[in-house]
Amino acid sequence: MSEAEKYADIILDSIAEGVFTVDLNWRITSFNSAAERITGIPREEAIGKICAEVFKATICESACALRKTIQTGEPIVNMEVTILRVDGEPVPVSISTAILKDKDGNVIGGVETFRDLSEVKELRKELKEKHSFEDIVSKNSRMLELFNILPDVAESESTVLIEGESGTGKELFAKAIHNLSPRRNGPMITVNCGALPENLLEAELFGYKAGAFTDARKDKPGRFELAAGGTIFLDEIGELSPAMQVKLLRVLQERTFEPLGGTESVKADVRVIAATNQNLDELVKKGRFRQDLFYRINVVRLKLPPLRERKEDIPLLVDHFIEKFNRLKGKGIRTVSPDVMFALMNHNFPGNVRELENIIEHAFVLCQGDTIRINHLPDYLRPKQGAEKMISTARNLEEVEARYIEEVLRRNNYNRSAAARELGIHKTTLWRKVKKLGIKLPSMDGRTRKERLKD
Amino acid sequence: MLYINIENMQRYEIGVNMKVAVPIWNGRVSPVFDTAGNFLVIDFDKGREISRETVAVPELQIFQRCRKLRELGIEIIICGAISNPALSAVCAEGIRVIPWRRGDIVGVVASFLTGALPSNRFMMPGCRGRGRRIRRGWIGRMGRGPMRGGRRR
Repeated sequence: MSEAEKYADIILDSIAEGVFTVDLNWRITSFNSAAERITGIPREEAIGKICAEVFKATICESACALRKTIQTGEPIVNMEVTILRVDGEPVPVSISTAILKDKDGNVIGGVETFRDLSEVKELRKELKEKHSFEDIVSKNSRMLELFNILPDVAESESTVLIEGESGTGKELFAKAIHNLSPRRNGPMITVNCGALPENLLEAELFGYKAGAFTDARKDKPGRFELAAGGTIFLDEIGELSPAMQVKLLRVLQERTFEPLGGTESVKADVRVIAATNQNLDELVKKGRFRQDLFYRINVVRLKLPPLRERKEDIPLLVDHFIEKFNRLKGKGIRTVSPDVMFALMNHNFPGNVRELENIIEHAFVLCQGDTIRINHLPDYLRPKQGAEKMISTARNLEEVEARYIEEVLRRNNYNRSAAARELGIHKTTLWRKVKKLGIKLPSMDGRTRKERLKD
Repeated sequence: MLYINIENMQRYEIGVNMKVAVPIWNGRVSPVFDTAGNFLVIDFDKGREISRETVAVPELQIFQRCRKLRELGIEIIICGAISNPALSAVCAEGIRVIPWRRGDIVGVVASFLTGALPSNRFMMPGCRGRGRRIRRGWIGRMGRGPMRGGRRR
């Protein structure tokens, strides 16, 4: 071996990237130390073997990078694939390829370099886990603050009131508090106070003794009793009737309750977490919710922000749901297309996280490939067809502006104030543009009577 | 009855009827089980081949892949590299696996029948002397006992 060749070997064996070369029969002709280390195969066993049987990448059969490079002449750079190590462990690697030519320019094979991405993947996973807390996914600062105080809140056993729009994860937070509290090994019982009519709710919560009413054939423990030693989660507490509010207040004050038809008091050994999507202060002011009960519940108050106030969480949640449904439905969906992400980021989510979950689940039914696209989304999320076409067939910027102004005017029944407001410009600016761009207005426009009287 | 000799330690009888599958690519054992697109399925009866056909298995998701193989009635798989998660999933379906094999299909199947598969000639690079590994693949039946109609000596 010449000095130059020896030197080349030394160089190849010192770098961290695996490097191997193949001839035109796909047999390995060189294999550096890093390649040995990452694949687990000694050089002597790799040389002369078919490269797919040594490298064992998921794409070897279907989409070999070297094959593509040799065919097209185009190198491939930093493609992420998975290879199988000799112990069966999948290893993520980033590969790059190039053609090997002799000094006369003839193609004699190919060279592939690859870098072990395991550590990068671990770091990415760690980063993702930083945004997960007890099944709740978020990187929003308000949510992170809540995560921070949850352990202390849980430990303290005090009554907690969770406020937030429906679908914001109130039950998840309640569960998290339960799991972090000293009562974590006890039961967590959920009661939806808005779901049952009052008389049934009382029986549900406090239980009944045999004979308490028709059909009460035997003793039935109430939810408070079932939750003994654990936590009771009272969802939609704002829906409680005044009578029930009194009874609940008593339980919270005395820590006892009586089952229906019973005379003996039962001790309530439960920690109470309540939730509401209404504004309890308002209800108290209106006299629909008792103030004394409010103060009993409002010991610790957690306000959950709606999804539209933490849009940075949307990509995280999308990933989380894709992973969840992949596991549940055995599918292999990897991601959403950019226009789907755009549609989601621009949506208001009145149903918050639950609505997003439903949207992804809906997409799972329709999506057959590995990417969720715009046509897999429910109708109400897809952009209006007309608007798109109109703008994409305009000839220049002025025409785009003219058509858009026209569309907004039409949408507002040619009411110029409303249109100007929607466009975010002043009425007179709108009027100037209409004149300049030659936009035709109907003779009977949408001005309100008051405005018409003005001019 | 024909016996297959596995690493000189246990002998298994080939059952009355048995289906063996080998992921195939360019006439050789496909190097990666998890993504192999086609399987050669061979039907054996009393150690003699009665039919063979190539079946496409496009499913990439491991559970769907295993389900497809189970539906095809596969009992033994001879394959190249297989990831640990896939190996567990396939074994959980009750399919026995002889992994980390390489070579041309004709040679591999013929060797399987004469019991010469443990030979290093058919092992993938870096997998020589993997006694323990092979055994795990065989015990893949997960306590369902020896093969159907078989008698362990």
